[in-house]
Parts: sequence; structure tokens; C-alpha cells
Amino acid sequence: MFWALWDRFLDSLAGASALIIAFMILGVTTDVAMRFSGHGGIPWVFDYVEYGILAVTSFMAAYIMRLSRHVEVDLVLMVVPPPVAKAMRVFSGILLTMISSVLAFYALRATVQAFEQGSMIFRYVLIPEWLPFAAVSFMFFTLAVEGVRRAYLKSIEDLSTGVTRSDAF
Amino acid sequence: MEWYLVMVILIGTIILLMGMGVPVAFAFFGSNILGAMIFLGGEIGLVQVTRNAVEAVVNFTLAPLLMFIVMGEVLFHSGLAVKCIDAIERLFTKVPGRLSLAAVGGGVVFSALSGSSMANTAMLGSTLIPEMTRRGYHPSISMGPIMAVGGVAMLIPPSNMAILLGTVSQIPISYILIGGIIPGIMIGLTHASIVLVRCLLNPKLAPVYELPPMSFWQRWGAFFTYVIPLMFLFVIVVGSILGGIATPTESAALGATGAVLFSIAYKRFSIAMIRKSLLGSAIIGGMMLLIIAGSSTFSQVLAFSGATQQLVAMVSALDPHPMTVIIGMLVILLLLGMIMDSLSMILLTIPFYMPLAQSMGIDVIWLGILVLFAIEISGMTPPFGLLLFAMKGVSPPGTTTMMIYKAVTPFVIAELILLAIIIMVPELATYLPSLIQK
Repeated sequence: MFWALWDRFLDSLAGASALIIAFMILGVTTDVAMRFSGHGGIPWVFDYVEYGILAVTSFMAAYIMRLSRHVEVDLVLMVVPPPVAKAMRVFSGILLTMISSVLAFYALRATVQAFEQGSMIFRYVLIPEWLPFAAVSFMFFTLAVEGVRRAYLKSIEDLSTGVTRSDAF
Repeated sequence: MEWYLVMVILIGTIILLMGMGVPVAFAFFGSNILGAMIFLGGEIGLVQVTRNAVEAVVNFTLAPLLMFIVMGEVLFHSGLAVKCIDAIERLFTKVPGRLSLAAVGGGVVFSALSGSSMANTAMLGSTLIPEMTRRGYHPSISMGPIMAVGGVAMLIPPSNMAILLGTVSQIPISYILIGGIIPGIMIGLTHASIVLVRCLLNPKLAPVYELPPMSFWQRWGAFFTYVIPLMFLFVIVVGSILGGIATPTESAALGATGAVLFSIAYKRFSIAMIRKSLLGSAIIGGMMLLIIAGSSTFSQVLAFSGATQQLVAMVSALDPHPMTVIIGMLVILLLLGMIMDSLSMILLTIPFYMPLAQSMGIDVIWLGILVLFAIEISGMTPPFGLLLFAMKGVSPPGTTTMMIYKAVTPFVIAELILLAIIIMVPELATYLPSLIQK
């Protein structure tokens, strides 16, 4: 049940990222068209694109992990015996969870610091400084959760056939 | 701490984590955590790692990366890219190895529309290999040119790797994008010549077959209908940068919008297609952006530890000829390409290469193009080049890894010779960027 909801949640984040990208393209194109036609540009597009990139990175990270589409170098895993490769894959999931958890914690600390200080980022649009840090903390949190799933899936994987995500959950 | 110890700790951690199957982005983040603990003051450093991750991706210069990916994805999922390749194939009728030449021509055209080597190789392979196999083409003349020309996407704009290299090295992205055009065309022409000469010398490699008679319009119609208008997209993207009319981000947005407009004009637009393209772009872009976020602190930790400065000082003290340094850098890339993907190679080496090049007065635009060229070659160099695996994925059943190695070898040798030519004649890489600089 939890994983079904979690998958829906990640799917919705991926959908939001796709929309953010679409509006980035639309925004910049409109900005260029308006400037060339002498109607002035859209000054906030620059800010939208920059923070849109951060949003896409934060929203997509765990979804990409679920699809196993983060680049991996599986050279060693291909040459070691299957049981060793399986153990290494489980361990890599645990490491991934540990790395993500540490960074989620420290990004949260940066978020709280920025929130308490009430600091703002002065762009065309005023942005509270805690917001980007919160996005990064959120990203590492979702990655830590996916790391747990990855380690678990690898641990129950049948060495001869492999199992799919739906088999496991 | 001595620079070599710093490198053993930081780079060693990255390689160890990568070897264990940890995704590249997390290998960088893992090394960053260690580096922050040792060199950036512990907990303060760890907070800084997360701040750097934000600063690395809140960066307007990365926007073309996402937008060019959208452009390629739209052309791919709308089927327009395949139409272009079909159109180019029709042009070659009585020449030996016509399908292989079509692969080279189609590869160069799709490179100018996509920017992804893997996508290029996969699409050409899945489109042309079945027909080549049916026509009795030898694997060396069917798979070889496809793998070889696949990598051209790394050099010809809108190359994803050129944008990444520009972002990491602080070289203006437009210079790197434009600088890759001449070397990219040289690669295309060289591979076409190799195909032609080999097929003339040994006609059995690509048996000649009779094509049904075609009228002028049947032969050229698709070319005028699809290739010429879509090349207009390339002209907008490159022309706007070259003419100083638009920034790379603006030209990328225009390119992506243009691709969508073309899909509408050719009645190939659908909500499903655009959803697939945008989601595909978010996946590829998100994956690359996370690696960039991970690698940003890596450069900072290196600088903080003093390793970069020590290395530069040590090399400068040896007073080597700049050419020796350049060749050394390229050899390292060619070797790294055997075990590593192109993204990681750029992020791992550029923090060392750029300060070194600047201290020795080496033209960084020239070096940037050479780096891309070397990475492109390493991607198809046996035994572990990534394009070889992409080809294995789309090759017909029964294709062995050794067949793929043999097929690509003549093209690797040809590209190494081209690389040497660009080393000897830097203007081949720097002439077009010099036009914008003026």
C-alpha cells in the first residue's frame, strides 16, 4: 500500500517536472518573441528558468532512481560471481541511503538556518532562501527512501531470473 | 596534505563507490561528504555541500541542456527523425554501401537535431541494421559506421556534452558549441570515405542490389519535404548563436519550440507524443543535473585542499612543452573512456585540466574541442566504450561482442588520425568561435 502511494507520488512529481520544462521553453520563447517585436521581455523568466532547473532536479531524482536510470558503471559487477555482485548491489543501496540521509539532514539544517534568519534571495522575484534548501532536503529524503527500496529489491532478487518491482511490492 | 594523497582520497572514493555499483552522482556526493569532513571543516562543510548543490543547478547556463534534449526527443518521438533517415537513404542509389552511407549522412543530420550520442546510435541501429542484415551487409560495414557516426552528436551542436563542458569549465557555451561544427563534419566525411573505399575494394562487404525505379520526386521528394525544412531548425539554433542574436538558452528554446511546430506542421503532434518527449527529457536532464550537483562540491573541495594548485605548480615546475601536456590529457581521457561514461570523465578531469591549461597559456576553446573529440573516440573504443553496448542492444541476434569490436576498429583509427590533425591545426576548432569573438 505504502509503495503504491509512493509510486503515485513520484509519478506526479515527474508529471510536474515535465510541465515545468514545457513552461520554461514557452517562457523563454515568448520572452525572445516579445523583445524582438519591441514589446519588452518577461523579466521574471530568467528566475523561473533557474529555479525551475532546481525543481526538475529535486522532483525527478527519486523517480529516475526507481527506473534505475541514474548512470552506473557496472564494469566490476559484470565480472564478479553473481552472489558477490548481488551483495555489492545490496550494499550500494545501503550506501546510497546513507549518503542521501546525511545530505537530507544537512540540507534540512541549512533550510532551518535560512528560515530562522528570514534571509531572502534578491532577484526579480523575491525568493525566501530556505525554499531552495528545502527542495534539496526533500530530494535527498526521497532518494533515501528509494535507496531502501533498492537495497531490499536487490536482496530478494533471484540470481537466475531477477524479480520485477511489482513482484516485490 | 600532499596533492597525491588528496587525489587518492577523493578520486579513490569516487572510483571505489562507482565500482561497487553506486550511481555516478552518489559516488561524487559520497566523496564530497568525505572531503567536507576532512577539508571543509566537518559539519559546516556538509551544510556547504548542500548549498553548493543548490548553486550548481540554479544556473541559467544549464537551461539549454534541458531544452535541446526536448528538441531531440520531440523529433524522435514524432517520427520525424526516422523520416529524415529514410529520405537520406533514398538519395543513395547506385553507390556501393548505400545503406552505410545513409547511416553516416543520417547520423550527421540527426546529430544536428538531437545532441545525444546514445540516442543517435540507438536510432540509427534500430532503423538501418535490420535492412542492412536483410541485404547481406557484412557486420563491419553495417555496425561500424553507425557506432562511429553516433558519436558525432558530441561535437555538432546542439551537443549536450558541449553544454556540460562549457558549464563546468567556464568556457562560453556558444564557443564550444560552434567550435565542434568543423571537426564534426570532418568525422562525417572521413567515415563516408572509409565506407566508400572499403566497398569499392571489397564489394562483398555490401552487396549491390537493384532498387525499384524511382521518379525524381520519389527520390528527392522526402529530402525536400523533411530534411531541408528540419535543417532550417539547425540553422536557427546555430545561426542565432553565431550571429550573436540569441544566447544558447534562447536558441535552445527556439529550437525546442521549432521542433514542436514542425511536428504540428507534419501532422505528427499528439498529446501522448509531447508527454513522452517531455517526460523523457525530464529523465535524461534530471539524471545529468544530479551528477552536476554532485560534482560541483568536488571541484571546490579540490581547490580548498590545495591539490589543484599543487598539481599545477608541480607540472609547471617540470616545464613541459604544452603539446606534451595536451597529449597527456587526451591519453588519460582515452583510457578513462574504457571504464567510465562521458559525463563522469568531464566532471572528474576538467577541474584539473582547466587550471593547468590556463597556467600554460593553452587555448581553452581548442582544448575543449579536443576533450570532446577524445571522449567521443573513447565512447566507441573497445573493450568498454558505451556506444559499443548501445550497438549490442540494437544489433541482430547472433552478433558477438568481437564482431562489434572488429567493426568499429577502422573508424577508431580514422578518428585518432583526425584528432591528431586537429592537434596540429588548432584553427579547425577555433576558427568558427573566433568569428563570434570578433
